[in-house]
Amino acid sequence: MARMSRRAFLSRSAATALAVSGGVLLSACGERDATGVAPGAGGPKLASPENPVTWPVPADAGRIADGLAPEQGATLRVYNWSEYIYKKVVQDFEKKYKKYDVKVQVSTYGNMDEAVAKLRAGQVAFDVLFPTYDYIGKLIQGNFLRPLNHSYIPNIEQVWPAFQNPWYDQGWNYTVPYTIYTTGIAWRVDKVKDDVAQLPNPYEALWDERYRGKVGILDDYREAIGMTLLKNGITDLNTANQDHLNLARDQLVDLAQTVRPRVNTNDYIDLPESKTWITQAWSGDMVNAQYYMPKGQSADVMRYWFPADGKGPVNSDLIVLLRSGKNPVLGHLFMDHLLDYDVAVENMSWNGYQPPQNKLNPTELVGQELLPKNLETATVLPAYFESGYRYLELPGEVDDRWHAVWQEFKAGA
Amino acid sequence: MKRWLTDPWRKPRLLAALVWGYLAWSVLPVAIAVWFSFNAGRSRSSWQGFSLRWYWQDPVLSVWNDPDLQRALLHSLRLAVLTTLVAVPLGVAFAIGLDRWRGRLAAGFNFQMLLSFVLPEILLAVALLFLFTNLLKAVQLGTWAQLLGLVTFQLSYPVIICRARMLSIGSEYEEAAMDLGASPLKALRHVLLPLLSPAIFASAVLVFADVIDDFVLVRYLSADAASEPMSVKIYNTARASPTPALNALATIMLFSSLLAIALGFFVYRRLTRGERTQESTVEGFAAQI
Repeated sequence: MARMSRRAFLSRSAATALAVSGGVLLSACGERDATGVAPGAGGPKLASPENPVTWPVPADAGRIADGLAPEQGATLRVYNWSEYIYKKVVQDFEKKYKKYDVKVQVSTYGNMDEAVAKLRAGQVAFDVLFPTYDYIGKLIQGNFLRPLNHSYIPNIEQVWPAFQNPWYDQGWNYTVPYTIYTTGIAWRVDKVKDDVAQLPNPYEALWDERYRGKVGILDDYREAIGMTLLKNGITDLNTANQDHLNLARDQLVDLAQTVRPRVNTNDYIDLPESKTWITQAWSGDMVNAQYYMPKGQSADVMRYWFPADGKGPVNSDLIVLLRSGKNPVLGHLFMDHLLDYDVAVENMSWNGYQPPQNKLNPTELVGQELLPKNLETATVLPAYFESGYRYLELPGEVDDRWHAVWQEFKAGA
Repeated sequence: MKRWLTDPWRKPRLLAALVWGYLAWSVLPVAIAVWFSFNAGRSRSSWQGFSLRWYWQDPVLSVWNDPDLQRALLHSLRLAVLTTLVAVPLGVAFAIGLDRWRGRLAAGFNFQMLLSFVLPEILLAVALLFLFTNLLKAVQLGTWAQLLGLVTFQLSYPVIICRARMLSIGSEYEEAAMDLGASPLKALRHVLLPLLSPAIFASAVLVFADVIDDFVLVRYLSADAASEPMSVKIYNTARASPTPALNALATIMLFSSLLAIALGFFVYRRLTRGERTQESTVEGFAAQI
């Protein structure tokens, strides 16, 4: 398996993806949709980079007219992941629209299922939501989203052009981008003797018995299994191929037994505190890790690796408006506010996750002291989004098999 | 060694060690959490220097400057005060009623009281959520739903505590008062209620303390950030990357509840001045609770 060239795998996995997206997907939403969102009349659609989707904009969907004044004395209800937006950025918005007497109230959720459940209950009129892209289809088909009026969002010009026509929402009818990140490997040069980035296969370093007890794996079944697939040169991170999943299972079980990894999402705490020496990591978490070094230690010892050719997992989170919201104009303005360069940078200075701003590049990030020089590699580049791999929503049956692999790993870890 | 072991008058060193060990075990994590509220950096597990940043120095994220944290704290207090104000008088009335009222219906209510005492909170929470979102839609999730839920859940504390106290008081004092010409209502007001006051007070303290850190019910019945008390806030942020501001807030909570308990103790001592002959005040207070 591992001998096969990447290219061969690429073409093969593309074929599998197409075959899968044909039939099996239909059963995905209907039966075992955890959120219970009913699929739309046209049947569920699943977007992927090979299969871009343009969502229809029905006339009654609540798109607002041009040139409306912001709502007076309103409370804008923002529904976001916990600790995912800097309070200062929110307060700045309130100040900016002070003459309209705007208040912003941020409520939080821990995962998307929880968020959708609350939206379905319909008791709170949230205006703005921060979903992951794999939920976009469900949200639109469940009639939760309000189509955007682009005239209120001129700052879209400040972010990567690709987000004006993303594959999950062609023509950005419903979404604007919030943050982007890669998944790679982070390590400490004072503990790990090899230069992980220079190894022929850096992923293998996580299996190195010398680091027993000091290895971190992200507590995320897609990321952990996906990383194991990549280690073996399998680049279809949405694979339905049981041979691939079995391979990943065997290697993960082996990892659990020989290395005894810590499995959590505290990579940004564990690495600075030397609880781990080498860890699977999200780029945004490594930006944050610098704030968690114990007193008297320098963040210089940390490094982050993401394949230089950009062939690794990339991801983005989005901002959407909810149809239930009472303040659509302010909602648009809030989106526009977050897309502004200065605001976006301010936000990143606290939450660590990079906004896809055109002006941000490794030099700029280091220059602005958002990132120490040694973690420059944690910058996300536009090219990564062309070469990188996406975790897409899995059909139910495939998802079950992924979960089975994960259960076996967790049982041993 | 053997003689020391079999000596019935030896000092209970093992027990003492166990007690001290237990105290250390339970106090240490709290002490560490308090300690980290003074951390200079963002970490809640590695020391980055001393500062008061998370209390008021940080211009955005400190307890003093973050309206979200204050709102959560206020909401906790609001729920605790309102629940106490509603549940305790209701519970006392209920206790007196159950004590006087015989028959099958009363027995049924009594059983129901005991049932809600042992019913897992999560069952009640799920049931109420279902009730408020599907049947009684007029009750919006949020403060009102939370208050209704908490009163339902907490009502049994004052009932059980007051009934226990009434059993020990007996009916003689009231009968004596009525022999001397007091009307039943007067006997209730001037004799029974004063005698019950330590129990009423103890149940108020208990309900207050229990509501302020209630999590299950209030989380299920909360709507948006405006109706999320401290406990829910802590839970929500604990799984992301919370700052030591949360520790600072918890520290403030800790010391204010310690203060409340101390206050409760002294008031209880005043209320039971005449009765303190055999047992110490602490034991009496603890026994009431």
